[in-house]
Amino acid sequence: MTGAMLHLRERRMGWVAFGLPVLTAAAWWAASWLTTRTFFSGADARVPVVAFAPLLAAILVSLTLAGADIDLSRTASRLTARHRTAHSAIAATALCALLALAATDTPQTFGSYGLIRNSLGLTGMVLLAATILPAALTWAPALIYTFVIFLAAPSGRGLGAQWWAWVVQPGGLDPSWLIALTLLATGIAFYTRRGAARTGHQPRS
Amino acid sequence: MSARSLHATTRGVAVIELRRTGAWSVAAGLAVIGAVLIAASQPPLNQYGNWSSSWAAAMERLSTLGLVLGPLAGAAAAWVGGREHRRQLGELLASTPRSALTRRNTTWAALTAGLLLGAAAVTCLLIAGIAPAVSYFGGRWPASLVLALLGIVVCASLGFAAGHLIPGRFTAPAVGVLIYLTCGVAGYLGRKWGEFTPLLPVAQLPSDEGRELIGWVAAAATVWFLAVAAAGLLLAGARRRATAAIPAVVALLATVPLTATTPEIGTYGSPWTQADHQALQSVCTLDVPQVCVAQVHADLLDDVAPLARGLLADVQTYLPLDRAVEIAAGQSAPSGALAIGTLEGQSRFLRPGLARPERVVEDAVFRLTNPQCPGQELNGPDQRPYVSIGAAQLLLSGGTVQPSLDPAIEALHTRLTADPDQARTWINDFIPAAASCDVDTLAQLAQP
Repeated sequence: MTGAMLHLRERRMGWVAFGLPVLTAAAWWAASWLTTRTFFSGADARVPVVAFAPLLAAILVSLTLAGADIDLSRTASRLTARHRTAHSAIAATALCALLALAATDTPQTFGSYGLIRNSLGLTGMVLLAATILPAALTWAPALIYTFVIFLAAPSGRGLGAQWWAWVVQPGGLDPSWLIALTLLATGIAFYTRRGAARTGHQPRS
Repeated sequence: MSARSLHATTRGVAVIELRRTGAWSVAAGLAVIGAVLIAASQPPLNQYGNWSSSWAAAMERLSTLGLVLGPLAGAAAAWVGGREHRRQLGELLASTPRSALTRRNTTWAALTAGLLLGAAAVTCLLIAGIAPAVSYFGGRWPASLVLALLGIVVCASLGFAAGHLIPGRFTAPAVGVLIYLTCGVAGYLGRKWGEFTPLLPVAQLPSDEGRELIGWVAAAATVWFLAVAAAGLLLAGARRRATAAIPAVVALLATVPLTATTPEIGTYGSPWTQADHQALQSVCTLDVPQVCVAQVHADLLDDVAPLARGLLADVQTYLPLDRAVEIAAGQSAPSGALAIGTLEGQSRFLRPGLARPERVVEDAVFRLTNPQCPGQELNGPDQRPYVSIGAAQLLLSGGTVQPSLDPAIEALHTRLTADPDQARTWINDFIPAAASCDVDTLAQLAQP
């Protein structure tokens, strides 16, 4: 087995390669099911898919951001900042490319555009968390944020909702994209610069 | 080991576990998240925020907040449950004299204490929100509170079991998402699954103003939640995991009567609840014109009375109504009374009084004037019925309720106000036409 394959195996890429298509298929099915409910139908019913599919995908990506032994990884000369940048960019691109297929009709209303935006923003959140929190907890900020905002977001208008509730906005061009792209850029920058956070104890998984 | 030293050891272990499981951090986190959720539901972050200063509404709000608190509790418990595997302590701990069940139950109990502390802090915030104005203390709200908190315990138990049985980085977030989606999707399933949704640990506890949990249902639901929690703990810690089947069977038996309940005839309430007649008893002003509200909204009487009386003064010019009465959804106004729509959701958080006084007047005017049409009878091309409706709303509200800027409505209103006798006749033709959805008469009344 080559070094690259060993690295991919250590970073659980197999799980991600399997999980992302399965997640995309499940998101497509859920979006189709939700749009056919009798009392809340149409594209507006896809809010849960737009919020939770990218969240689960970002959590899958979080599994790959650190290996079993971070200090040992840091001694490897090949795992440079450039590798981390490529890793982040490929992860974000793969998420967007796959999840965008889950809701292609009326993409501007809780469809492909929203899925892409949330994939970018939540991936950025996970990358940022990886530089601060232990590897086993990088999913926590994105999970907590999505849970809270899904319940807290106003159904009508609210002060600054496009900024603080960006993950449940329809998907048209508005401030929510700015937040998502800022999170992605910040996450890639920090993960490139610092890599995964070191903790006193190295978890096995 | 003597009983005294065993007690001291258990207490010492519990204190250590309170620290090592992050129970204090979890408690603080849940409290902050609950506060954020409550703040986000009120203006200005939510333009349509509504609040009811009643125990029923507070318990309903706590149940809804459980949609976030429960999954986070499950995720935290799954993460703690996977600790032995993450830190490779399994063999080391197995060599200690304490049984796995005792060890893991202590760990779970420490974390759950933190979770319940956080949930209790959120509950205190909700109580603070209703305290300035709550006017009715009945309705079995303590049972609702116990069930809401037990739901958190169930999430923690199932999460802990999942974290122990399925070690891995993906388990904790997957548990959180699974609980969130399972409890949240219930609202999309329709009436076919209605009898099962209150069995979910969070977000589905029925709690409406004017209704209370049926006594035996509350007891059976408590048994259900406790049995599910016990099953989770035995799965996580028992040497023979099959012993979890015992509480699982108890839980299954508890669901039989719970899913067989049927709603009261003539009500829209959940089958787990019954009418709380004391909450709906009328509380009225002592002077005339009399204004009456439900006991559960008695704190709003001082605010509602002048608004209702102002509207009555305008309405009495055309209709023989001598008092105002709050009515619940689906009810009809008593004869001779102006109907005020339910005041549920019209209180203010942390302060007494009406949140939007204008809504009381608007709602009462709409109840008087909106046609009671069962289908799409008004959706034709003819806009004349809407002219009649708009003119009636302007007339009866003394011009304060402005439906739209249609010049035809203004013209009709001006013609009617110029001749009060004609206006009285017109209104007395309008009201029965609206009540019976007589679209032809409504159109004719708009003729210049």
